[in-house]
Amino acid sequence: MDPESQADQRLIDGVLARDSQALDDLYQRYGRPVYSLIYRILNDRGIAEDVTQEVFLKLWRQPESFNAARGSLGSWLLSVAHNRAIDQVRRRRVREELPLPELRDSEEIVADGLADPADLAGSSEEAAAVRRALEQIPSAQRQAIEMAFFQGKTHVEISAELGEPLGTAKTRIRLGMRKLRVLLEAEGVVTQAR
Amino acid sequence: MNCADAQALIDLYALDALPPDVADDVEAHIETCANCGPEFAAATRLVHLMDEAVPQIAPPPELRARIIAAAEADANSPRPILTVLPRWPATETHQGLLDRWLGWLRAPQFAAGAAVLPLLISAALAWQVISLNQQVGTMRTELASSYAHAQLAADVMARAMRGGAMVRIDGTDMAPRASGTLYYVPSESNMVLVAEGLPEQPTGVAYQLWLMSGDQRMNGGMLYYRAADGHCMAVASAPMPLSSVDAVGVTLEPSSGSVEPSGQRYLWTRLTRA
Repeated sequence: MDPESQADQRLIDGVLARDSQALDDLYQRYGRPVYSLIYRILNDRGIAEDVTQEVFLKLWRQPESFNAARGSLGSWLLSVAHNRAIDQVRRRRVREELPLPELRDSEEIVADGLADPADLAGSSEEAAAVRRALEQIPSAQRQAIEMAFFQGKTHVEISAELGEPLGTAKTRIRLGMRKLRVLLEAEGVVTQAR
Repeated sequence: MNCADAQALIDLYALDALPPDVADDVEAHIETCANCGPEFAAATRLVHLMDEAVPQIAPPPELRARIIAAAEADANSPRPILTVLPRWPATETHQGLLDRWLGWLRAPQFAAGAAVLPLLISAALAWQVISLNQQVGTMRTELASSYAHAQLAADVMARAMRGGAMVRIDGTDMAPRASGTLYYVPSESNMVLVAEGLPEQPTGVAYQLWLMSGDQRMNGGMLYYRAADGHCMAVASAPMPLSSVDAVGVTLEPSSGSVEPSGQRYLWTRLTRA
């Protein structure tokens, strides 16, 4: 186990022992990426705060839900954050209470003064590589992937919204994801599946 | 589904971009296929990287204190339990038997049998213990059933949100402030109703859910109604795919339930028949 995972495990042990300082330390470590992802999906600061709170309270109430054998704590928290935020988007879409957030470029978020330009592509080299790769894939493929990833739409909904055949939407997502993977393999960020 | 079919859909599955029925097929294949496992792990890794690649924004400083305060308040309160509790199991039979034992104890033929008394008391106590154990067993079974019910509701709602149907249901003139949402997958038979704003149920009557298909009126069960805030919920299972159902309604019926809708409508909506 690497030092980072060991530190995470100590904090999880603290949460299991109902030590709120451990949760505080976990929030200090992961609060920013969790909030950033939720805000990027929801584009609403108030709801993003509520959902961020839900994510950390889920960890507090059910720390046993995290299984270190299946990945890092950071990935798990972001995955929970993503799912909760997309649930909100889907609920909002059904109730038609609020307009769906527009897909916004990172530059627009920076222009709003919310993000530090130095952090535009996330804090790690890996994140920067992902953003570079996303910029390199054809825009139609990127659009289809972002509609699924940030708006929680199925390929059926994407094809209906873009007025394209179902197979086209499916192929765009698949080819875009494959292309992303090839680009990231070339940068050494991910390894080949086999 | 074979490996070629699954691998054509694995990226969409990792992105949660498949309708629920297709996603279930892919999931079932991945769980049992050694070939597709690494492919799915790679797609999932890519999605995790995308999660990490969004522009980083500092959360408001007060959020940290809010979360820690909520966690500490949570730690000081008892663990939540299921609020949808089953009706307490009937105990008339056990109580009746105990009364009979005590009746025998008071009978003249036992009046002189003082030596038998401790034995009878022990037997009565033993019976009470057995009876209580049976009650606990029944409660466990019913709690497990409630839990399964809650899990079913959560599953139906998740599937509905992942590409199924979520349809608004409105209050009628009897409940103009009531509204709710129906969650279901049209090709399946389970439906969840979550509603609010229904007036308090008078004693002896309760809200009942109905699913209509042509001339058929199908009982969707009684609503779980929380008087404190008027929130209510029901999980219904139709004997047919819900794509065949063309309307859903809630009426006020005798609390034991009705075979056919007989009371006033409180919630009503038409569904688009597939």
